[in-house]
Amino acid sequence: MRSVYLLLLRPAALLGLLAACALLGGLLAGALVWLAGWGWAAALGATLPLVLFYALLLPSAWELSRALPLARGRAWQGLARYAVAALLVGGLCTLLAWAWLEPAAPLAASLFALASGGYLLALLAADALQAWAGLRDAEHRAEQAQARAVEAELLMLRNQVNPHFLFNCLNSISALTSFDAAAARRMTLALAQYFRQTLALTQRDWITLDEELIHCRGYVEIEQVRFGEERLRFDCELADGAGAALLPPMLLQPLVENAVKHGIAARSEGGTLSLRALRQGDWLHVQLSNPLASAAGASGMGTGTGLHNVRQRLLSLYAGQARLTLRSEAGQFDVEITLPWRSES
Amino acid sequence: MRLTALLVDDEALARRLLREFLKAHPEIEIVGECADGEAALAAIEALAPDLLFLDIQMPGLSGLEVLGLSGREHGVIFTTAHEAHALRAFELHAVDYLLKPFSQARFDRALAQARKLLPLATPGLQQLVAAGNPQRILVRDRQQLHVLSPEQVLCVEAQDDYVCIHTPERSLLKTQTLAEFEAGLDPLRFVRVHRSWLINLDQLLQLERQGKDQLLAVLRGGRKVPVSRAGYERIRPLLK
Repeated sequence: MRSVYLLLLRPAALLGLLAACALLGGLLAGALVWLAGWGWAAALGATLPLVLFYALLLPSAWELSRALPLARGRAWQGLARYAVAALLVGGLCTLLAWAWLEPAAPLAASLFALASGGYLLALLAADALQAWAGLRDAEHRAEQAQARAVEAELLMLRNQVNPHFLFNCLNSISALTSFDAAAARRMTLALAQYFRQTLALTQRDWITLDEELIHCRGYVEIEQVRFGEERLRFDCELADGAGAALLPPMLLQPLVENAVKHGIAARSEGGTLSLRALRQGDWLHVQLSNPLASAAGASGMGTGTGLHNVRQRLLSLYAGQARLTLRSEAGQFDVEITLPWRSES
Repeated sequence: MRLTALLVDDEALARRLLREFLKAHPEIEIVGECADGEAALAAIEALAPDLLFLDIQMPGLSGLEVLGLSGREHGVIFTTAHEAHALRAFELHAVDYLLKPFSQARFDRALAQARKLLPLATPGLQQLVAAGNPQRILVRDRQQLHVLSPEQVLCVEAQDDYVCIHTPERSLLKTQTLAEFEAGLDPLRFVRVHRSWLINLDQLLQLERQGKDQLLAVLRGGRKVPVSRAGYERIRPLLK
């Protein structure tokens, strides 16, 4: 946060401050003229420098209340801090006035009270303002996080059914009917099973990694009919017990679909998707790798929306506790997800 | 009339379906099948088929890039599951699109339409192709395929029916008019500064006056390109 003193660099703010000083100085000088019988010139000469000094001191109340809010520590500590600061400021002003003017004792007392009281009020006002702004900020952040969560869930729901996947599958089935009716039927059933499972899984808040992987495998088996089993291979390896991990449904499926679309479909020779999952203490690591498209095949690269959606979902569901990292090297693209470990037991 | 056809799709089942639907049209002879863009490019040149059934999403080169590189302008029927491409093609009256999955009746209609237009080039087609993918520029030099990204390009020069694409390392010739080439690029990055010159604004160092009327654009690496009066009017608002 920037210092409030930087505001004085703006001509309008500086002019405003000077005008306020002139007004206050005039009023105080008037009081001196009427109450103590001073001459106007002497009174103004005394008050104006003093008021200017005070005005330059006053914004420090904002900095102080920001650095040491009233609410920090016990209540009396906060108040005591502010009181000491106010008394110091009042004392400083009075001391300066003494050195400058040697005023009569009653005037010095009221000056001390005025300067201390004013500074204390400024401190309290600044503190209240900042507490209110902080509250508003927190509310705003909570609202934003909520909106992101809703958006991510909606996107996930929409992405459950990728229409192009469906249309391409139907085209394959259409082709199979004329020469391999049994295969056409198998693919129809697999597709129905896949969509039914998608609906069932997304009804739940948490599913096991095993369930998610069965679902991913269902997807890959359908794609294997389209691309051929030699062009798309899926190799899945779970370390002991990792399958019991709980995770939000359809977290990995979009990544597998992405890998098929941009990694395998963009290569004439195809390739192997490999998925590794393991538990490490309180964390679950999942890594998905696919070969990259060959040099001329850059058209296969996506726009990154799929990955962006996964990242948003992780953010809204795990609030910064989950991590998604991407690595692209030696013709291989890796996505790694790290989640806090969660299981039924 | 006997016609030849080439089937291009990376999915074997999709090619098989086309073959199946073509059984109803014995006068059409299938002369080849290709599973990716590069094979299709070679087959189009070697076989010169009358009809081309072309998938859009394929490994390597996309269907649109195959057309751009081969310069083919007639007898194309696209097959795709993406309706976004189809809409654009209909707007340009380019060619017919078969949206997967499609019926025999729909296939027959597209085929009849394509045959009717057959001897003619469809002018919208190269326009569709040119607007294909501004992220990369493909150039074929003899049998080698070069993939350039627009950032690499310094300037482009019109030479009769070719454009000559200059990068800091080399110059490549491509069979395309400068107007067509320009249409496929980002207009905020590439500016036509002269009847036969297009420059990459990111590579422009300064404009230099030479003599009374002559203006030159100095590009990174020191290459100088003439700027016409109209070219100066086009480039001026972009320099601010």
